Amino acid sequence: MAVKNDIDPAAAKKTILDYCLKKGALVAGVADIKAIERIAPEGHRPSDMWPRAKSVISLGVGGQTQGAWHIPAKALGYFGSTEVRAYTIAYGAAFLIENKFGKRAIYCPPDMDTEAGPRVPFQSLKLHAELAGIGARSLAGDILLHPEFGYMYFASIFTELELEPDPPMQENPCPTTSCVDLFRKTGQTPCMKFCPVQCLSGDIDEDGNQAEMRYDMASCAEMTQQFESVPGVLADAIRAEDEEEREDLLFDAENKILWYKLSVGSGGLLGQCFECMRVCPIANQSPQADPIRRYETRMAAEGDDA
Amino acid sequence: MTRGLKRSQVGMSEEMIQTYGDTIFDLSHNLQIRRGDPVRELNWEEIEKQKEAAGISDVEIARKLGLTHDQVTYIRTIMERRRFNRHNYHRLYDLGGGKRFRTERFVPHPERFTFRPEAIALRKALDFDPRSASKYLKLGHWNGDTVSSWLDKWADKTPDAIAVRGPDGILTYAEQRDSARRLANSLLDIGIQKGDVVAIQLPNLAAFTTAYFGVLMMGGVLSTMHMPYRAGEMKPLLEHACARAVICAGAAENYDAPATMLGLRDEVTTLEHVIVASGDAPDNALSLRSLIEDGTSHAIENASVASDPAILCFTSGTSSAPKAVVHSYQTMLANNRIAAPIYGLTADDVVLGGPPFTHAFGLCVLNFTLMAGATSLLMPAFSPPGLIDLIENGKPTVVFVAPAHVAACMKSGHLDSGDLSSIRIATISGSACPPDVAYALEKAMPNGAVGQMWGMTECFMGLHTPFDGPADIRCETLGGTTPTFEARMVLENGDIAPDGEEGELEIRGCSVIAGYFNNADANRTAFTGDGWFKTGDLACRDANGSVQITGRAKDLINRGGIKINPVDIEAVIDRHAAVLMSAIAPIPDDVLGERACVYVELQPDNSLTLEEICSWLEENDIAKMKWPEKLEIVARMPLTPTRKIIKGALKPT
Repeated sequence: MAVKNDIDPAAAKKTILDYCLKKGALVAGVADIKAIERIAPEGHRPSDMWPRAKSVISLGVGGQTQGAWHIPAKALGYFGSTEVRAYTIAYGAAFLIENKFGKRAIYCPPDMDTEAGPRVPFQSLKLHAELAGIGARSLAGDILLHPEFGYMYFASIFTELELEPDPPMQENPCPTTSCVDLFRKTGQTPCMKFCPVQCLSGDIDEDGNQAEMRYDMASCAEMTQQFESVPGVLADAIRAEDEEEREDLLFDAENKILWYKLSVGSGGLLGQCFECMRVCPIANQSPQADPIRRYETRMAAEGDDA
Repeated sequence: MTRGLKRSQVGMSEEMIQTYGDTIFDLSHNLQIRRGDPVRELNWEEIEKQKEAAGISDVEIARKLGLTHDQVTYIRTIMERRRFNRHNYHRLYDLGGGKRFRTERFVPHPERFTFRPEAIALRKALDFDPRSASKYLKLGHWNGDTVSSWLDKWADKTPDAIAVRGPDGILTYAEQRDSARRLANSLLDIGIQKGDVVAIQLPNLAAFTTAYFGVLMMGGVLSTMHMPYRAGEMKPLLEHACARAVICAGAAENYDAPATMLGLRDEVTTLEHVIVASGDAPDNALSLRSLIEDGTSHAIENASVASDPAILCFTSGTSSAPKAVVHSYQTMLANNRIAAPIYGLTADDVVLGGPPFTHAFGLCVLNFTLMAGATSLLMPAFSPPGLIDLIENGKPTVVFVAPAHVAACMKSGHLDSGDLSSIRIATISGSACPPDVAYALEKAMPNGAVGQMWGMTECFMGLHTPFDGPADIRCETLGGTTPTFEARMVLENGDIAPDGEEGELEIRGCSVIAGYFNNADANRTAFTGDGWFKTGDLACRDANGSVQITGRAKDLINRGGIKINPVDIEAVIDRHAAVLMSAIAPIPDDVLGERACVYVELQPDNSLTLEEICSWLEENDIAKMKWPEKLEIVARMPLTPTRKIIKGALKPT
């Protein structure tokens, strides 16, 4: 790779972030890699994956369409694949960095660490985004929220190119005034109240800021991450008392979905829950939280330009 | 298993998992706590302080606990498998789509409704030939109708129309549904479940119809017990049905039903509740009236569907292997639908059913009335003046009676003196009807026509005469097969009998049951496997297609429409000290059709009277209706080489 030595970091950063926005990212930024190294758990730092990484770029794309929030959870899961759009942009950005600036870059693998098993990602894309200033931790299990774009999917790029990091967001939009009001009355914010497994709890201080966020990830995962289902069904089938029970365990509609997902593999296993985001005012009501509002904003801006 | 390594390679034992499992689970990402917003604020002191609370990585846990990285990952993943409730994802099915999740509305799958094993076993009786079932469904003979859906239809459409008019009350369709709903909810409240059998021994009263609709509404299966039955007859039936509750009348002078049922509750393991329909319920029994009054009126959530079993009736025999007929809504109600054009019932009709609701014939009439939204005129007990009085005052437009009803009215003179002008059609059924009885009834109805119908519990109505046909067809034959049914006469050699020749009547159609519940022996002899039911009746068909019953292939005694199986009675009589062996066979009777005659071969140097036999039977809890009415002492019982009694050789003197 031909290394270019006359790179203007500020111009390069603008080029890369503009590329991300042009390709569909709602927001992008550069995280402080040194901060990531200090905060990320051992084994999940950028240096654990690629010691030569100098910068971490994070970008976010829009989540569900407004209509998607109104469909059953089992179908909503299929729309989670909008995150793939973020990965595509990240891959393109990494490609751009290598071609334009001659510096190695990788699209950060968003998947699980095969050594650690499911539920343990290689890297925390959430931490990257938070430090890049494109999202802040919410009471909803630390899901990142943005005051303008609401709830997003994130992707990261590691590169040898040194870029000036952005600061984290100045303000945390969570909790909103209405959430604080509900909390004062009931002791729960909407996300806490409507969680089907009550995996969220916490406290809000006198100033209306987050005092404590408690996330029982195990309870959340019990419902939405069914990694144990396939071997569990097989184990149950082996232990079945008779052929009828065995047939039910292997071939009833619910369990046949497992084989379908294994063989065809489209969408999530059953779908995610999303109840905390369904009721989140930031996820739903931020100025550009959904495509309809973004379209209206863009049209309004174009009208102003004209 | 970590990275494909075995426990022996990781250095792991079950004891280590037990020892460190909980700690590792809690230290890992499974519980995350954050105070304030330290990362966004880059508050390094807080970040460091809160690292453990936020969940630390496996390698960090390993260092903290003095385990290897592999051991921690192994234990964590094993603990996640063991702790995670896989069934929690069922909650996803209750999310979204305009619904807001409410914990109180969600019932985990393991806690959801489960049929009892007895209910599942009962469903095995609905084992239809798939080719026949497909045909009935395709042609629409079987559909989604239930008794409750029919009741709902009329309660919504004509809520103020009279559904039931009986001596214990008048109920409009709205009132009938409301009382049935309240009873249904009360039954659920006391622990009766969908699929449970609820037995009933009540005469034709509004209490019966409320119980019928209520039990079916909550998904129960109603099992009828004939009114003359006493503890000796009912115990094997309740056991066979695995009845969960029984509804009976209040105590009367000649029969303390509640006490009898409470006694049976101690003996029948599944029987939990005795519900008394009239008077005060004794201790340990429930009051039907209170259940109705105290019940809530909301609609039943897990209601019956058409393929569910609806009724369980016993055709004959009270021995250890009774013939239990289970009808689904599909087989039961299909019969009413397909026969409807013959009767032309409308909501304006008032229908008087002579047969008791404890018989399939009675229930068939009740369903017919419900289907049309007409009024059921109830007759709890029969007497010639009572029947004629009910007709004169209740003015039924449609009447269903047995030949014995008509014959008794003829003999008493009430048929000729009564005003039967309200009747437009009268159907005679239940046993073979002498033509003069049918002609006499038609003559007594200035505005009505007589028709005949043949049916059995196993199939409901299978043969009909058309009401607009000639009198000789209607009064002297059973007409042709019910629409969509098939009938054939089969010779002993298995060939189909030609017209005019006698054979055993076999019938096939959308209301024929698949088989008796839990009676493989009876099923082998009565069902062909491809939908044909061997009725046991001998019949022949004339060139015009009209069928006549000519005899009986079975030994049942048809006493005025009540089928009496002599086997149980013979067994009791055989136990009498003076009896060597006995056999009961029918003798013809002008009024009842048949009566029972007992033939006895005595022990040497003994004597016996009919009165002594009846006393013996009474001592042994045999219902009076089953007692023989004639005694013949025979010197030597005719026997086959295998010592079976040849009943055909027994003739009264």
